[in-house]
Amino acid sequence: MATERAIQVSELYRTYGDLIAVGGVSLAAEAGEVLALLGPNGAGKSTLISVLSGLLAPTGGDASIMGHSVTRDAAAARACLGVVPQDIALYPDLSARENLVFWGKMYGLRGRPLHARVDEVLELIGLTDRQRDRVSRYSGGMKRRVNIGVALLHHPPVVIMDEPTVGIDPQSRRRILDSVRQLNAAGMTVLYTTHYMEEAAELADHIAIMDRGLVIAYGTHDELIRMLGSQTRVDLSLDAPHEDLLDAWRAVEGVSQVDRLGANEDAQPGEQGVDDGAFPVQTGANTVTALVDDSNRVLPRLFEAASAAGARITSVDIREPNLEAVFLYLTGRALRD
Amino acid sequence: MKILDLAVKDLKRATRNLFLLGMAVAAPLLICTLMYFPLRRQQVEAVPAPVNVGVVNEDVPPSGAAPDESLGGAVEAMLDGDEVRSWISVTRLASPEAAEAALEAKRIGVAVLIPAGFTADFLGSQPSEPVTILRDPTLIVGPEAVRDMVRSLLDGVISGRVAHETLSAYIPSARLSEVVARYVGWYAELQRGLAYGSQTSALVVAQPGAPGNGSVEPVGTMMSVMMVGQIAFFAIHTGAYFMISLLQEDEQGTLARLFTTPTSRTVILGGKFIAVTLTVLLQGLVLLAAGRLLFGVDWGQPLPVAIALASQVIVASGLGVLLISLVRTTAQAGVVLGGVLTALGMLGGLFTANLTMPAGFRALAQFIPQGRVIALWRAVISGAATGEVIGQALVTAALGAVLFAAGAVIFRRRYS
Ligand SMILES: Nc1ncnc2c1ncn2[C@@H]1O[C@H](COP(=O)(O)OP(=O)(O)O)[C@@H](O)[C@H]1O
Ligand SMILES: [Mg+2]
Repeated sequence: MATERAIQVSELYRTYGDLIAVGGVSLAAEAGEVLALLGPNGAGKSTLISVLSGLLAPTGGDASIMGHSVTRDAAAARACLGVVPQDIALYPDLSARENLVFWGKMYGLRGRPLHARVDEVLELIGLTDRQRDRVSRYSGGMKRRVNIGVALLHHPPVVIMDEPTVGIDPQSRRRILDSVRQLNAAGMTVLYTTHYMEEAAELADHIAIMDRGLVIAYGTHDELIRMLGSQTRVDLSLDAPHEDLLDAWRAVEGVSQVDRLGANEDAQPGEQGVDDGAFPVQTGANTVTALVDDSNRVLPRLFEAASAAGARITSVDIREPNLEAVFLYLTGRALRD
Repeated sequence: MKILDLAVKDLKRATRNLFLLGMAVAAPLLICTLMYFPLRRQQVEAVPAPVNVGVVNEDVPPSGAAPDESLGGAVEAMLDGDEVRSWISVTRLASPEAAEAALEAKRIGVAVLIPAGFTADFLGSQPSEPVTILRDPTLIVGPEAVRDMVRSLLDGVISGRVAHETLSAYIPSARLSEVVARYVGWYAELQRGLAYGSQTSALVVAQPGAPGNGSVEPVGTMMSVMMVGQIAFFAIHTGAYFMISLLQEDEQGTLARLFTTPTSRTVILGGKFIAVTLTVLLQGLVLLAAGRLLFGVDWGQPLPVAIALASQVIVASGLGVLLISLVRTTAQAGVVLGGVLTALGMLGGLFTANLTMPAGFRALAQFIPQGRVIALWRAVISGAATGEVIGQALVTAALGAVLFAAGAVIFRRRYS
């Protein structure tokens, strides 16, 4: 082996009865990299992570952490792994410090080294001042930070984070993204799942796009964007839903994909990316996104078709090619729905 | 030791869980306190002299029947029974006027007036003149208890009367009065056994006699009888409600997170089992200490007390583990525990009362943890030596161990 694979997933399957949650995924993360697993809700990200962390047995295939199989050598695999679950898993009636000390013990730390490490982690997650408060009194963002801190206590070479920024304030989000960078700079391998393409773009060395239980694309950010070729993504807002118009647009020459951007409760980071910690913006219910070959040539035809259907276009937004466009290109669906 | 770290974490959380603390310590202490003050008041009046009851029985038995076959005779006999002689002393008086005068002069504390024709009215199904109770307003508990006794007897009589009306169509009248008299006698005995027997009635324990034994605190003795019931009942509740924390950890994701750490599932479950045992143990110690310090209870010899406590802890934890292993969610657990524990508590309480039970019921009682534990404590507080309780304690602990093991097996299966 040229480089050691920190995470190796081979032909992994996991079903729930008839439902195939993970349907034959092969994937690898090199030691020291950030691998983002990007996909909409229900894609199978959490299921894959449950198998990697030893909570679920795979129904087929295998996976390993630092060379230890999660099925045959589970204890060794777990010792190399810190897991940040998607839902906060802490004791609300204990303080942040009490939580960290307890979880540190579960990872086998004791005494002085334990308390020194807890101090370090509290510093890292920015909760040194509030460490004696009970977790139940924390904001959502603070809880998420403790939730992450728990997974770092034992200096694991590999950390898996399952959507760690869902539903929190911009400051906490910023802090979490920064700490992922810091951890990675210190040599940790990070598997980071998200349905925010901006996070994947910002953090990841490699990105695996997952949909309906399968990895449908894998590469660096630039490699994935190159899949779009000359295509541009345009978002068009309409005065009303106009269901028929979508089919009319699909028939327009130079248009490859059309989908509605549903008004989504899920947070969506602002356009400027996540660097400014912009808070999610809500997209209008009547906005349609399309992939087109050459916007100069195709846009007039879209306006014509709209007129013919009696629809009025209220705004047009020509986007930088991004991962969302890649997802649209691959699946015909917008990432956010 | 990770297993102890897990248990310590649970204990720490238990001390911050207001619901659990209320159930484990506050509720039993509150109930005991509520019982304590009336008892203290009663002691003030009852210890110097038992309640003097004046009975005016003008009831005439039906022709040809013995005097105690009249209803009035039944009331009189109940008040004059062996079981209650320690705290009731009956004086027979000739007329209501005499009773009022005796009350006035404080020769009696309460008077029970049974009108003439009470039995005849009853059998003849005419509206009957009720039994009247006159009482000294300055006395509280004694007259209250007498009134309760008479009332519960008459409640039984009324149902007897319904039976009488139904049956009189089929059975000749003379034969019927015999049946009814027997029924009334049986009912009076049941009432005494249930509420006023020397075992169950805290009132009766206020034995004003035994003057040579100056060290005995009568209120303490009464409290000990009541407290052991509370201690046993709430120990079982605490074991079960504590175990809900495992379901909660399952729902809140901390159990799954524990499973992702390099800690074996056996250790994780073991930590929970140690924690429930320690919680029930601590609760028992706190209640015993509170009984001693607040209510002056003398629990008896240290070794028998320790033995009773140990078997209580084992059976309470074991039942808790098993019950919670049978439910899936915290929502279900609340409902199931409410029903099952209340039913078991009632059965346990009933079985320690002095009642004649069908043999099947008796056998069943052997499996009701509350009943076993209460019986054990009763023996301990009445001064039983180690040798006299060890057998019962071992059987109780063995029952607990079986419940424990069954629950542990179910949990192992669920989380493997
Ligand atoms: N415990 C479960 N039982 C049945 N179906 C499940 C279970 N957990 C997840 N699923 C289903 O598996 C699919 C993948 O879910 P999940 O792995 O949570 O996706 P993601 O994390 O990408 O949102 C979904 O269709 C989900 O409904
Ligand atoms: Mg998920």
